[in-house]
Amino acid sequence: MNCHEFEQTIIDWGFDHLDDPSTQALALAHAESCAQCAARLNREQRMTAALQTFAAEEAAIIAPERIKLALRKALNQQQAAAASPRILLGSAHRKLLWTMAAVVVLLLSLISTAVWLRLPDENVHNVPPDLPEYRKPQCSSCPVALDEAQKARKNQTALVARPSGRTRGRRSLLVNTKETAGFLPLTYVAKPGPTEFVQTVRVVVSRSTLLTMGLPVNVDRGDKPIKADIIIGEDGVARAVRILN
Amino acid sequence: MKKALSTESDVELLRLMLAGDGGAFEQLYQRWQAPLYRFALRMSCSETIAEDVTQEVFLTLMRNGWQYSERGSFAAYLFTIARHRTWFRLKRERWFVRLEIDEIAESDDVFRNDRLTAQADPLADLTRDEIVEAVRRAVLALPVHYREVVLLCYLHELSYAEAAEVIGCELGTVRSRLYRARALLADKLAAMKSADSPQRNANLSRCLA
Repeated sequence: MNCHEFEQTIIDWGFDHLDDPSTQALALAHAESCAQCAARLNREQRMTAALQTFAAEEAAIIAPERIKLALRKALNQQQAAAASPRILLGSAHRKLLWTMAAVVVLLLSLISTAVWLRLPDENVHNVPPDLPEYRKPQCSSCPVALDEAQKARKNQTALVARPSGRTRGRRSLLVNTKETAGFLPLTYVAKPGPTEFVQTVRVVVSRSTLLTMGLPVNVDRGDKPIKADIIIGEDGVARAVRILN
Repeated sequence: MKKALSTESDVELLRLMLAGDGGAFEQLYQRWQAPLYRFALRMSCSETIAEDVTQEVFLTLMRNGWQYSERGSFAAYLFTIARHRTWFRLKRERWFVRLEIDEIAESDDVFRNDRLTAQADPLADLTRDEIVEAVRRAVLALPVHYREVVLLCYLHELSYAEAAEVIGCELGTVRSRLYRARALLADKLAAMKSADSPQRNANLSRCLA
């Protein structure tokens, strides 16, 4: 042990704060060989003894009796009042309550997350298996639709805002997958970027609404609703549509 | 057969007290009133604050004792409450004058600082009563951050870990504060001794005349 190490151990000497007895032996051995550290040890031991004397003198000081009387009165009043169930609750009960609360919070967060995101396959499973493949419309056979394109652009937000019936949707990146197959892009709006988050919303719309968007529908059955999936961009504008029936 | 309350652990006494056992309260109070009162008294230098703090600690035990988690020691739990209440009272009543902490960082580097070590023995040639009085004055003159570690570790014999829990700092911080506190105590005792020496010499010369 050198003088620096001796200095580090010396304050733990008194009051039983020196954990390792062998360290004390090493420090003593060093003090025997170093006069300066021996004097230092002597001073620290006298300081420790002085503090212990002071502590012994202080031990005679006690709190006034009136504190005890006041506390006893408070305890009696507390006992006279209805015992709070919180006070009688043991630590095991408290742990159980906290665990239950945590489980409830976890379940709520899971449910809310599931509702928000939806499972990826849910939309696919909802589509009837015998649905005919959508064919790309021939614009020459629907001149009315082309004329109405500019008008439909103004109404595209309204299309999202007033779907009739139940809507289903989920947020995802727009990538070319099986899920995006069959969608007809609405060419009069800007194409979504490759990393843009889009939302697929299933709506029931009237055929006349689709007609205003420039899509080929049977005008004779314009009052009949039709089920469709609509891809909505981050700006809330419809980007593509897929007719389901 | 029911055990005598004097042999029950603090935690068991607390549980009994919360269940309405007045005897358990008496026993718990008997064990802890003096250390808590002394700690608050030496921290605040005010008997009024010390009485209030002692009372508030036990009231907290009565009302919120179920919050004690047994992870730390019971002594540390009580002294933590007492410390918080004392600091709160000191700040609220604005009796607390912030004392400058020396610019030396509280790290292991303080152990290398030779200027913290008093070279002369300040306690030499003092009687027991003089030693007690000198140490009391020196302890009370310490900055609060150093005084509280001295009180906790030396007067109330808490371990470094318990003191760290009470103060809410690292164990190394407690050690370094203790080291610096002892050096400051030595300095203050030496200063007191040098100030008392002319008076003592004057008294001596009067006696010999």
